[in-house]
Amino acid sequence: MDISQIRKLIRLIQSSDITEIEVTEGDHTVRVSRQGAVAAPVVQQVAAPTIPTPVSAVVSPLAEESMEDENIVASPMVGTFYLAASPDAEPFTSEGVKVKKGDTLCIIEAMKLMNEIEAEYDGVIEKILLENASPVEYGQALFVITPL
Amino acid sequence: MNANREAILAHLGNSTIPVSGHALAEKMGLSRTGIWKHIQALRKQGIDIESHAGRGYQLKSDVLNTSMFAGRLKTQRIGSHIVVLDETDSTNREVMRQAESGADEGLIVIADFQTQGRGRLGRSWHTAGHDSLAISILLRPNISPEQVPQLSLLTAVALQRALALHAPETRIKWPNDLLLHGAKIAGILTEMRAEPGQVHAVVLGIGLNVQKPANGWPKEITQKVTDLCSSSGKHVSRLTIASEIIQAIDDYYDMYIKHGFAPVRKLWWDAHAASGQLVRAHHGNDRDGGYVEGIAEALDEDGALLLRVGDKLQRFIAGDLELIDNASMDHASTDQPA
Repeated sequence: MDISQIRKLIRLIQSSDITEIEVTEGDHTVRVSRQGAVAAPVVQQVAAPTIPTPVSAVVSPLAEESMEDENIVASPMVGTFYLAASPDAEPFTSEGVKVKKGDTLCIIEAMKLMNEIEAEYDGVIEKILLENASPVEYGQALFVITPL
Repeated sequence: MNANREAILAHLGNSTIPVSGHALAEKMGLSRTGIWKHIQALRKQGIDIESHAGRGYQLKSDVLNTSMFAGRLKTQRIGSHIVVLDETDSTNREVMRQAESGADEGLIVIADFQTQGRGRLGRSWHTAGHDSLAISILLRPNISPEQVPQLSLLTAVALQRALALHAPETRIKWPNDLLLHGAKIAGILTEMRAEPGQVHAVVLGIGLNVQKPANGWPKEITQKVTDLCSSSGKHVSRLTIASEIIQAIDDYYDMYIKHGFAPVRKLWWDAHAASGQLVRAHHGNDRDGGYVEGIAEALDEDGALLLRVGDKLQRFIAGDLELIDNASMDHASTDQPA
């Protein structure tokens, strides 16, 4: 199970009254439990055959992971990803370039609905995760932008 | 524009017969001389107003202004605020700018000229003054961004219904081009600002060819085009068709809010030029040769076109659809030995 799925479980438990979730996928089991009302959830990734004692224990520093997550620009819909306004135009941005809040980063198109994605904050384009004209899924990461 | 002059144009624009100076003076609480002065001023602005001795004034120019729409629309959400501009860069951009400064759902911007009228992927769209209609509408629907592409198809259905009042053969080409016998009569460009889970603004942009420009279509236009007046064989004013389009969008948007996409989806499929026919879908991705051919089998729940390619169904969500001349293929097949 990858880190983003675990993160989803953590969000799920944080937004509910549940105190523990256990998910088994193939030969891996992940158990997320809440200890106390405000404490951070504890994540245990377990190899299934050795259920009794959690072997590979806590997925640690969550703080660092979620920082990185916040710096990802995700697609709000399924569509086609364009890095430029037209096939002949210069790309909106490229890796290593500084962007300002409100700058256009890309366009996602579906059924001739054009969704211009704008930078939410000033930053530097760390990574562009897709090629121009690629298909994109809901919630898929498009850019990593380090805030300035 | 001066409010009195706008009101005079609204009176003249909403009448099919000449309106006397006396009647205008009474309606507006001005003297007949005052009316005459305003008419002179309007003529100086290039607006063609004919005087008919003993009968009054008649508007010959196809002008539009906000006051003209008063009393014409029975809309619930759209047209709460109508702005008519002589010129702007693009009506979609103007609406998006106003959306960013907090404009409410229902705002409409119409312009005679667009200096940067656009189609899909930066293609330019020609807006020729009184020969065209460029109209953009702001929506703030309470739906997820994933559903917003449905509004792109809803706009096509509304536009098809409005145009069919004058040119019944009007058909949709996926997702939202409007065609008459294979020639483009209108186009739609829908734009959205959203983040995952939250729609901020949706702009429906419509470009319609109302009549053929006196000196012909610009040379840059390479595809087959037509216009409403030639297709319907009569003069249709921009005020008439603009009002019908706005009303239709409001009606279908209301249907969508109450009953979801299903009824719109059925109407769309029935008005689609290539339902059940062979089409070429250009997705623009060079890795797969740029296009795929298949039978347009259905419209998916999100508005994607389902193409039957061999024994598989493929979803087509972005690109240009090319209609393959089915008529000539049918003809060819009748030539086959029985």
